[in-house]
Amino acid sequence: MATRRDTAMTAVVVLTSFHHDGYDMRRIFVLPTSWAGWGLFIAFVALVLAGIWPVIGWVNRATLVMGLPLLVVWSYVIMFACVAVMLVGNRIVERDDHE
Amino acid sequence: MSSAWPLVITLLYVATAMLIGLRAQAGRSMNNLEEWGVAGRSMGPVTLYLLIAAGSVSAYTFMGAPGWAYSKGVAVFYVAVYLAYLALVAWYFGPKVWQFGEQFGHVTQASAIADRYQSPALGALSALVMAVGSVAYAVLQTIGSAYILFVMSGGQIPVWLGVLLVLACIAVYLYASGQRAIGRTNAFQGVLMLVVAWAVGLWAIHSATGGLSFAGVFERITAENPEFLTLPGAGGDMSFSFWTTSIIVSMFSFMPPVWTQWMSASSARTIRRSATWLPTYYVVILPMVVVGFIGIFSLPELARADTVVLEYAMQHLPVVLVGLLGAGTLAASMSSSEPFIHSVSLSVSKDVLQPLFKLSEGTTAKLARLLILPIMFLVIAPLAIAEPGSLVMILLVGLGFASQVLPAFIGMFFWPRASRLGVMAGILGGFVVTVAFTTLWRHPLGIHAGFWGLMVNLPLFVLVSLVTPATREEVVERFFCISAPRGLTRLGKRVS
Repeated sequence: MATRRDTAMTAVVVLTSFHHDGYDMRRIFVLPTSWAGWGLFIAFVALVLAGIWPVIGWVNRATLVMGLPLLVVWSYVIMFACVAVMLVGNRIVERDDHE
Repeated sequence: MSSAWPLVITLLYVATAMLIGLRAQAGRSMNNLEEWGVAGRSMGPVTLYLLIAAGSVSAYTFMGAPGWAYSKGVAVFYVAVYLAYLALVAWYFGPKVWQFGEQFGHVTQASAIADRYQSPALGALSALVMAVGSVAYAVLQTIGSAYILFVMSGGQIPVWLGVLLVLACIAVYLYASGQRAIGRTNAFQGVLMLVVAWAVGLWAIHSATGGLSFAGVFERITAENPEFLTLPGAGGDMSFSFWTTSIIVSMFSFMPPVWTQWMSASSARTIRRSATWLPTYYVVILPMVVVGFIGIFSLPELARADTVVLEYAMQHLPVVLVGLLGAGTLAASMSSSEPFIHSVSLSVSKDVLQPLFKLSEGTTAKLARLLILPIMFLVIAPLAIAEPGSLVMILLVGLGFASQVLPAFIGMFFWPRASRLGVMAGILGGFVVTVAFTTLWRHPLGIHAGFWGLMVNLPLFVLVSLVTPATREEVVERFFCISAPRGLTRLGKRVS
């Protein structure tokens, strides 16, 4: 059974301004709270950027690597990098949540 | 094709899938939404891994993707990239969605939306918008299934009959066992697809090059047709912008069956563990796509690109392998269509008809089971028999519509201020733009219509949310206890 602290990426709601009797929810966004959480967030963003333009333009060459087109190899590098990042993420989440 | 073996093997697969699907019920009563809808939230990591993997590997992998490789080249690998990103999406959002379901009793995506925004109308709207995308996807898969039966029977089973046969088979076990049937059959289909894809791929490579290395195929393509190895591809139409926007739109399309799959897990941790390894399954795409590349020099005059693997198999592979290819392709299309049919039925009953006619939970559960029949035979079957457009374009249109519900999720996971009217305005604005840029002016500037929709949708959503009342504070707090479990922080200090 998961706890309420069971979260994929350590997150928090950050308030940046006030509003009369409560808080101004207009400026609230969920953001990571720890260095590990920020690291994971950056890794996620980096993975997504690795698969789209302009990065994809840099590997868009008619070159073979290990017998496969560079773009194909790059796609599979991204896929396995996703596995690696999620494995690291599991360690962080399970350590934080004491599961 | 003169041998009866391919058809026999394919039909044997259909019978096995049906048996597995029927046995999944195991004496349980399916007249409640928790059981029929989300399998009693009981699925373990291996079943969930194969359920999600097989659900996302569709007929597209066995037909459309090799067809794209054959006609465009490496551009097809945008699919592999976005499937990997969907695993990241499942890893982050899946555990939270599971907790919503477990704590608040949601069984559908639209129920969660209705609850978050305290608006049954918004739940119904998102259910209907998602239904458009889901039906498009199910039609696509059914077309693939019927085509396989047509080819495997040597034309003896016409497309219309194939459509009806496949839908009838799915209807039987889906009615009987619901999400449990989907879990069990997808696990079987997932393993079958992986084995068949690699067996067919390696055999095809051996027959084309005399070896088992991909290098032989691609060295020849590099020498003779290098335009297939880069974007914009041989057709010149897969630009960087279309690659990028297709990935983004597909990634943010939180399709309802996936949401249901997450809710079917036995725990939040189960989802994370399944999602972590999910990208490894997508090695299934590679051998099939390589057969598409082989077709470039082996079958240069092919009339219909989607048929490249089947044509090559029938000309160069033994009949048993052709039969297994038929079974694998049928498994791919059935494993993808059944979750979509199930989720449309579940969501229309729960989120549209129940609030509209004030139905009880029991009646709604019975209705959900029965509703699969008109959805299959009055909507999906006629559309599949009419065979509209290209397979891939139908998929992209479906995902384009589905992505328009994105604001609802932003308000659920990231932005407490999102309002009911803001989400509605965003969805409607995005939907209109996506329709216009799919039908009237297709993908302007080479950018996916769904992406154009989001560019109108998101600003509308933010603006209207800021000027309309937010959802009640206790509801927002209830959701954000899960979405942001470390509590509220103001200027770096925790306040709750």
